[in-house]
Amino acid sequence: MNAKNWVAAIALAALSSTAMAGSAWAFQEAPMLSEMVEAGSLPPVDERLPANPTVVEALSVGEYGGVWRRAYSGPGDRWGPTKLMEERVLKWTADADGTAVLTPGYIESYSVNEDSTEFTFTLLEGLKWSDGMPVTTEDVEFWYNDVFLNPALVPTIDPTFAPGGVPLELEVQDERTFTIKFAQPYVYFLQILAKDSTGEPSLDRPSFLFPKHYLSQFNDKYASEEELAAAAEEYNVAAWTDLWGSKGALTGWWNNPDLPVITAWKIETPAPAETVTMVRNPYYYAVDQEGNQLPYIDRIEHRLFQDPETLNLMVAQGQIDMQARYMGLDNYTFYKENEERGGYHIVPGLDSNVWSLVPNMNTTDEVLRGLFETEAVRHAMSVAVDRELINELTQSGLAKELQTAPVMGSPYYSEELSTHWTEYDPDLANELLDEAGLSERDGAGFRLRPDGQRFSLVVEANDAAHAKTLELLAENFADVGIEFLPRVIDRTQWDNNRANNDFQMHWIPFDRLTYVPADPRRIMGSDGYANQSFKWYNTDGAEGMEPSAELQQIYDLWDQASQSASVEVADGYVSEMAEIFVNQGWVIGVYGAGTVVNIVSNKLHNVQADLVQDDIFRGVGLARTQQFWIEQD
Amino acid sequence: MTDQTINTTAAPAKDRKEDLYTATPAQLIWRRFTKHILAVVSLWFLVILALCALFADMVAPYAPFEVQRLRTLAPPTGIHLFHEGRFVGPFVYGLSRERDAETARVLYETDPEAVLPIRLFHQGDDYDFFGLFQSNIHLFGVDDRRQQINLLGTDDLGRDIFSRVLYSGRTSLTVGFLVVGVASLIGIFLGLIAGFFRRADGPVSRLIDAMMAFPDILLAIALVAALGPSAANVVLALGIVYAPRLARVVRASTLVIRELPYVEAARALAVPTPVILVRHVLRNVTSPLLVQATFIFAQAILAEAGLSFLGVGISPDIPTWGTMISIGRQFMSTAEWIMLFPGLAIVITVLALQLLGDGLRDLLDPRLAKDI
Amino acid sequence: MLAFIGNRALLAIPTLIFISFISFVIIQLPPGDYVTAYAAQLRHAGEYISPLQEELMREQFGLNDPMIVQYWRWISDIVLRGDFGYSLEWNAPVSTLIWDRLMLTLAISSASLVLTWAIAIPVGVYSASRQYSFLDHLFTVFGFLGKGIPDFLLALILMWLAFAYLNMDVGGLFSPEYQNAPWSFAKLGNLLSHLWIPLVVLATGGAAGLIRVMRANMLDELGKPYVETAYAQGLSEARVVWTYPVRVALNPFISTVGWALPALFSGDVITAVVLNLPTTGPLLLQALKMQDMYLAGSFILILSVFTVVGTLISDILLAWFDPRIRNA
Repeated sequence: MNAKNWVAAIALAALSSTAMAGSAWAFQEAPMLSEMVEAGSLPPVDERLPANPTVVEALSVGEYGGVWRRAYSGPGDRWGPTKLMEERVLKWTADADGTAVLTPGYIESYSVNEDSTEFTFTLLEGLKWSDGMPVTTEDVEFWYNDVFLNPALVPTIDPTFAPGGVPLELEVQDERTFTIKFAQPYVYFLQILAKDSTGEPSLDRPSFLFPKHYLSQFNDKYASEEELAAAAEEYNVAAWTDLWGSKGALTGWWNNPDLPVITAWKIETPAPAETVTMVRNPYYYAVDQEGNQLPYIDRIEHRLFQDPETLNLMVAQGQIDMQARYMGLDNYTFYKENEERGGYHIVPGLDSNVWSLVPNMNTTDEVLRGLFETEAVRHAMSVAVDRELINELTQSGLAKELQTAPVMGSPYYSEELSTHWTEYDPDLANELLDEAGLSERDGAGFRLRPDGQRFSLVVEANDAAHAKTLELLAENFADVGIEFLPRVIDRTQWDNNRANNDFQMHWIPFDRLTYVPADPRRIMGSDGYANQSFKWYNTDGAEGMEPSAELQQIYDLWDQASQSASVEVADGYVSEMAEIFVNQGWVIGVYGAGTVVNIVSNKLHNVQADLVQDDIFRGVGLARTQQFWIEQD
Repeated sequence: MTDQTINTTAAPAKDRKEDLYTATPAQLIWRRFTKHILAVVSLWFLVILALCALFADMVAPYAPFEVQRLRTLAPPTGIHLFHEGRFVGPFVYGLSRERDAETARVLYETDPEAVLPIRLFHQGDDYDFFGLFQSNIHLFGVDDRRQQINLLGTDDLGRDIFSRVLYSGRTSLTVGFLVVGVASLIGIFLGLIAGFFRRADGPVSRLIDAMMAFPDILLAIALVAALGPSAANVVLALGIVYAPRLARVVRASTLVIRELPYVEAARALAVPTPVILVRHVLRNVTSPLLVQATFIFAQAILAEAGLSFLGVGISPDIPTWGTMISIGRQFMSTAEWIMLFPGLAIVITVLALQLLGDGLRDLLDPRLAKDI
Repeated sequence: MLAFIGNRALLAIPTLIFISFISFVIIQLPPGDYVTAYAAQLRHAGEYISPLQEELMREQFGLNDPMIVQYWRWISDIVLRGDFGYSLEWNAPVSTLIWDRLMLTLAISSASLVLTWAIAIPVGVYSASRQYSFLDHLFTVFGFLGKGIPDFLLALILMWLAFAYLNMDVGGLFSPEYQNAPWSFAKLGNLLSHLWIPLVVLATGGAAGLIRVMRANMLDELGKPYVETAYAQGLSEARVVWTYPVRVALNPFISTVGWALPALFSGDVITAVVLNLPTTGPLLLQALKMQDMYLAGSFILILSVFTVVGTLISDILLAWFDPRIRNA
């Protein structure tokens, strides 16, 4: 277990460059592409790669070829494949120790000014789209003027790109260099960029780029209304704006094989299909340390499955080459025991989610809210949970009993915070609840609230796989006199309830606990324990509920952090935020830091072990998928 | 006088044929019924099952929700009679548990030292019998704080499968029963109307036929998805799905009965139609209705299991046989008993119901009457 | 005869209209709509979509219009243009989705139907003519087991046996290496090795019931005087049994042919889900769970239409086969 941080501190030095210097290399390409070059349908590799391509250090230099087989559960399961090949100007990748560092992607260099208000990026020279057209700052301008600032496509700009209400500004220096400017210091911009890219409407999310030569014909600033309507008709959507967006018919990479991209693989057979295939991009801009153009693997195939047991069978029959998605710890024994039969081995990773019970601090039930706001009650609820039991029975004993706090390896981690109120002590819980004035019980043994009603909590989850865990929690709570009513409802209703502030408590994987500043919204209550308070904060008091004093402190700290002039100062604020959050105990963490089960075929190499899984690091993208390779026989 | 005494003491087996002439209709029916061994056996089985389900609290040694952290995925406990060569009476061995370091598999070893005799009418955990009274007498159990007797093994939370099968039986049987009730209500209503009122016959028959042709499971899923997953909605949906079968039977009988003279007489006497329907028609529809209802009971149990299995049935925290199979699926290769025993329960129950239905049909259908 | 057909056909039309409206209403009943389901899915995967974006999507999909308007739009598209709408989840036209899977579904369903009949009829006839023989009892037991074992359980057990003991490849239609390969005998063999489980499951389930019915009907017929007459006239047993009673005993079968039509179209949902077959059943299940309005509604509509058509066909076939009904 890593006892050190795996997010390296970002040195915001003046210049940072990792492109290959000099071009004394002869570049190699995949056989399948050499054939096309010989047939005359592709220019030779030297002309396809940028002048100084980015070097991706492969764990071992690999062979070209092969098909990477995975499984997906339906057209909605877009993020699994997407995270395999996302590109950013700066992307989180793992170094040799497993520490997550920001590595330049398709840029030659970047720089940040003194007070973090200006960020300058220089694109690689000779960078091309997958159809051979060059990538220049024209594409950046196109994105900025005709998409980002276009209210038809982006009705509201995400606050992350408009800190303090002022959208970022673009200044183009030349055909490869451009500067992003903010009205106030923004020390975390690069980290946020590495996670969210440049936001909606996204397009496999490469930051700042949209292929102008292809998309301008579908944009209202270039095409006439009739042309747009005709396009909408042709692609079977209601309005031309539906062509755009992550799921858009044209800009959704998952849907449109004609879309020019700069990712390692592009879609070949789009969803919906029995098998969705992705094929290598002949113009991909990176090479390995010996000059071989990446990626090694020719194709990625995703096979459709309906039902989790089918997936397990596919694994046991050796039909999955590398996948972590949907592999639960519950089936760990099954995966382990079929390793030989399926010809794979398990490469462990570290899960950074903490599954937690999240009480709704903004619940409309006044009495309940009062109880939630009483620290003793929160304390009691937390120590009433037998975390070890749940770990043993639902995670095959392979997770850890944790509080919802930044996880080990995060720069904001502290052991105190992670074990805050995690000791199983039902006697203490009973004491605390008695002292809090809830000593009266009704006929069934449950405590009564101040208003005489039974202290009962309706807890919602949206995945039936957790019904077991909820039953166990119900028992724990019954032991201290609280009635815990689990409800597994379907996702639609669950989300409705949250949007309408119509729930008492729910059970979720609380994530983004690694590098908190990249997305602090969860800790700030968004979509969770204080959604209404977060709304209040976001809309400056126009909507939502006023936050409690401690929560307001957190908001204030974040305001300061996001405007700090230096990372150290900002980090200090973020640490304080985490401390307040955990010490208040608003959210009850149960278990986390389990092993992530990566099923890896024995023929697939370069998968690094013990990497951390988090949405912030884009899941498997952290492991640099373009350098995976498959043995050819 | 002496002659008569000799005669009476020497009175051998009664002449069965004589009895026939003096038997009441109920006795006749029973006699015919007992000729069908399978049906009788099924009936007894179902009665026992119903009793076990009703008194599940007592028959089952443990509560169905009782989580046993240290006894997850335990295989069925073997019952032994001989310990080290001596006859000791029925007992079980204790088990010691550990997890494999590599694969995290749960392994059990029998502990030959720990001999735990099985006690009948054992004092075990407390339970509350439908809120009427409290007791702690269980049909059987072992006297040990940590060891258990798991006749059918335990599931992944350490819950005793045997107990859960019984409690699930309660749910499944109740659902089946209620579905029959709902289907009967709807079916009788539709059938009577179709059979009795000539003008309604056309459209209602169309409706009935159409509903029957629509694939059962899909209709049930559509209805449950539309109404929301809850026990009541499942019962309602399945009731609607199976009502047409009953409606047809009722309609067929009604068509015949409608033509009978006494019904005509009743109408001539201006007896209100509902009264005719209930008092005359319905009474005579009961036999085919009963047969069909038995079959529907079986179908309902299967359908409910299917729905639970797909995840669109009753809420997953109420154990039913279908839910247990669905949970057990995940452990098919590590703990087959979790899935097999509820499956077996379903099969046997459905089989019994069908045999019973067959027997009833042979019984009540005069054309198939065999010699008594 | 023609009048009979015409009469029935005319009755079918209002039924169809009524059913279409019901289908649409059923889809709309659950709270929330496609956008809420989609947003929830996103959140589940860790993504974020603001309420404003949700509203925008609603506008785009026209989900804010009153129900009647949405219904009219839907039904006119279908009837006038054959456009079944767009599946919001799969991002593809409904007709494509269904059509892609239809061939396979029909193939499996028809094959199992034929197999069922091929098993049930001869066995039923045999059971009736050799009543109480050993084989009769055996078939009876088999029949009951077939009806008693839930199909999903049987599918699971067979799958497990094949996986654990026979070391076969289970799940789906093809092993991955044959998936995109060109057709060959090897591929056909692979297909069959995957299909035998669903066929066995479906056939046993169906055959069991039919055997009983066939047997009962045959017993009925064999007891009638004309059979005895035929024997007395010196006809061989095979001729007697197969020429006359079978034809009468088949009556109920003929009438159920039409009813099998909708089931042919949807296939068996549970077996398909368990075995990961790309048929239409799982598609519908998913559509109902995700409230994919157009897909689910179209599906139910198509099924209902087939149902009505099926009953029509049944009626016609029965009338043709059995003169008594025709002249009623």
